[in-house]
Amino acid sequence: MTRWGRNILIGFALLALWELLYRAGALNPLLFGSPSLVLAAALKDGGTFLAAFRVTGEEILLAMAIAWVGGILVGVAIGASPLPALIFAPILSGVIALPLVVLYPVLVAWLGIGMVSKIAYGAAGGFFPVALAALIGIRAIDPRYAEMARAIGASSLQIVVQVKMRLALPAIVSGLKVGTSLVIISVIQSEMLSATDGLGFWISYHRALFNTGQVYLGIILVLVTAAVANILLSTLERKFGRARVLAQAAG
Amino acid sequence: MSQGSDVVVARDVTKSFATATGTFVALDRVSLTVPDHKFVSIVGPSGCGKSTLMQIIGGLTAATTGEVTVDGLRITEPRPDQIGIVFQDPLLLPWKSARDNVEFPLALRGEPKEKRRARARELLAMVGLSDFADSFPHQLSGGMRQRVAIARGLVRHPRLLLMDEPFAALDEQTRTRMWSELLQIWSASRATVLFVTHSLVEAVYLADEVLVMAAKPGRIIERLAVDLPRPRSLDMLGSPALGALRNRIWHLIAEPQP
Repeated sequence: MTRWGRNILIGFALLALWELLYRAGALNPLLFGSPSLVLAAALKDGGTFLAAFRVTGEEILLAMAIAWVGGILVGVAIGASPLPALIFAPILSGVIALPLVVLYPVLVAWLGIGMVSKIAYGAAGGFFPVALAALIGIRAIDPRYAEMARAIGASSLQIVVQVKMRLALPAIVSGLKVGTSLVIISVIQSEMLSATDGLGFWISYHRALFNTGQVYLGIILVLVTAAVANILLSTLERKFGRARVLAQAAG
Repeated sequence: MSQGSDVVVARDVTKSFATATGTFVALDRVSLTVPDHKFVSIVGPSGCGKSTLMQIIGGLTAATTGEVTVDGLRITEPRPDQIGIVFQDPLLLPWKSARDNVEFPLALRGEPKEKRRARARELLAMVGLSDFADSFPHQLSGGMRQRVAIARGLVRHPRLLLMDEPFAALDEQTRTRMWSELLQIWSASRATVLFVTHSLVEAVYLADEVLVMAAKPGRIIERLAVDLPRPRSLDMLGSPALGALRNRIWHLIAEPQP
């Protein structure tokens, strides 16, 4: 049996066990729900959740785009500049350690309760790890590559874009992976705090009404989103991680 | 071109660094000339500033005082059309094939693909790697990688090829094979070569002239002509003429200089 086949089988077995325990009265349905409750919720509120999924997805994609582009630009610019990384790296890693959530009410006050505040908050969450990884990645490059590039006539911009960024790609992609996870976490978190739509909002809403089936439906959709993003980025990381090993072998 | 047929002319090149304990003089008023089409080696103990001298001639580092001209041009920055540089490590870009690595200096200048391809083909043939044009650096041996780096250094038709201990990282057998390869490439390319090494045998075997350097402060203490016939063959490695030159250099380096 293939690995996939086995995993799917295990998944179904767990679902069956979950349903069985619920039917047997061993699980409090208010706390644990059940597959049949989730199914019922999907049939009743599926349309709402699908629309919410779209809203959340758009927020995540836009926040990701900002965090990726902004993080790479800032990280590479600082990393490639003669400014000491000693000044910036602690600032960036320090910001990552801050509970940015305390800033969220301020963002809502500035940008409103709609999607814009979620995108801003999600982008802020993802920006710092992306920038930090790009900065460290650029700084970690063997400086002799830049010297070689200078010797063959590369301009400063060509050295950064065509040599340094390519050499730092494995580190940058690792940063994108961490940053994307944080974007997703931040967007859902902000929707749960104050919003008018989105998966996080509907999870909070139904939790308040003790609609356990709907809550679990929302949770499942969030988990699937995070899992898909993680799989895609892990693939990317593996691809460029191999590039790094080859670069070392090439000396 | 200045001074008849000299490709490189260095006059009173001094390089000093400020350190915690005072000024460190890496190079003290070094003057040298490298005649056209010649192969000149620079040999000396570690810390004699031979690599710093290469960096200055290559335009990668500025001299504190003095000046260097290559092909009559005063060197203040890298000049890939006049000077090709080969470093100790090949420093090939791992995501580019051998051909793309050789072409890279031309691509940076925005030359059309056809022209780039043709020139890369020429050079890969010259370094004996025509069959490996599509191979990536990690698929090539250490010696092959360094040959790709030499081809890249020559791709813009420089008058001068600077080589900074290019075979230091290779094993003995590969290194010996590379000597023959390099001499062939040198005669095919018609470039002038300035070759830094810490291997006395290598310095003598390859070159027409050997510049011997001493440390503290870095300076040239002797200029020796190598009168071994060309083409060189590996049999000459055991010849009395080569041995005598090697010993002469060894004494120059080993004995304290006044």
